[in-house]
Amino acid sequence: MSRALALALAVSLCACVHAQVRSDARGVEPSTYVAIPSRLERSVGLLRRLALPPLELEASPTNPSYCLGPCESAAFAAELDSDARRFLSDWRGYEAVDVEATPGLDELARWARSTDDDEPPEPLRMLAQRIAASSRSDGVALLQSELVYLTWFDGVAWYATLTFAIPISMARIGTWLEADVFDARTGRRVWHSRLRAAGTPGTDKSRDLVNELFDGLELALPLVLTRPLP
Amino acid sequence: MAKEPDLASLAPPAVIAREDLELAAAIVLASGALAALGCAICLSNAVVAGGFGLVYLPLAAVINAADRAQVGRIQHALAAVDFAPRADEAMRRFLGARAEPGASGLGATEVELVVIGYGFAPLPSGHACFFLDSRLRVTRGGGAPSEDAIVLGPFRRSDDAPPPHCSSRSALDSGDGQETRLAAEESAEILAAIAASRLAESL
Repeated sequence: MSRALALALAVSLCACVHAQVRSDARGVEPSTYVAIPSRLERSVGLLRRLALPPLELEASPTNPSYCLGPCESAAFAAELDSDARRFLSDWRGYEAVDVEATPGLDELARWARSTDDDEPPEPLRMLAQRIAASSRSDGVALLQSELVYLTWFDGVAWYATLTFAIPISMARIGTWLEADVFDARTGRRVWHSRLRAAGTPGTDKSRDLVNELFDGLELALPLVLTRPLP
Repeated sequence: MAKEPDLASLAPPAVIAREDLELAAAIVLASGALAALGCAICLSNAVVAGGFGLVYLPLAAVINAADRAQVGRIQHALAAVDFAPRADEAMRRFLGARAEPGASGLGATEVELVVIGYGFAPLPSGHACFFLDSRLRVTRGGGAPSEDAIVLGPFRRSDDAPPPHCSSRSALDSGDGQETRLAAEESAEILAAIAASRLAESL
């Protein structure tokens, strides 16, 4: 088992983490303030007050006793969640508003994961608008992660195939992170970033993954360039 | 009673057998070949080490020169931004926009915005962040001036300052330093906005 873990570690060290970012924030306007005219050009950055529901987590295997080695998905997800909030406020200038998990949020997460289309179906669009309205935010930032660990079944497969199954296991495991920003006014997705870190989840520091995930997100409009709504 | 050994029969043979000579010769030849191989390996190690030296030393020099050239281009792009006039123009614009109708404005107030320094601070991640250190001096009615620091940067910043503009060095260098100029121009605008906001609050 220690050999397997060493191999997993070696593979993860070779892994290259790079986020795929997509943005279409034309016509985005803030809902909670008035922007003071300036020479700063912002699009997604106009949504400076962002509602952040808790991170949507999917872990595999669901039963931790099947893990080959330690798999502390809940702890790692909590770390990702708090690092994301910290990064958004400390390094991007957004006002991250904590909101509780809402029914239907998992459906919104599933939709965001499954398509490149930025127009959610009507019920999901309304859900995003409702979350933003209830927290008086300009938008909703949805963060989700999938953590896939090695299992005992992988170990069995390695022995059964005389280690030929190792590459398959290595291709299967990893950390998937995805962030989507929805505009409060239209409920439309205006920014999307997704990354995959190969290797056992937790090998890469959560802070590094979050930094890479949000690296392409523009700075929020500074507070000094805003005025409360009349 | 034990029989005395026949010492004459234990004496070495006067002539070494041909097979033994062949064995000894083979051992000598093999040792010689191994020694020659060892020398060749040593020699090749020296050649390889020398080759590495020949390749890596100039390569390191080239990388270093490229690195310095990149920093030079970023500095050049930064120097091309008229930072102080931009901040001055922006502050006048923001103060004009904030002035309430009928308000007396700044009146006999003298405002001085002193930019002590600005530039890019490198981070361990390989990114570089814009930093700025400045002072807002306000003198009212000939009294003693009050001074207020406005600091932007990755390690320290004023409470009302937003996070700094950070980018990778290659991004700052790309597009003829477009990102560098953008960071500096935006920071001048933000500095002016903070100064105008503080002045408006103090009036």
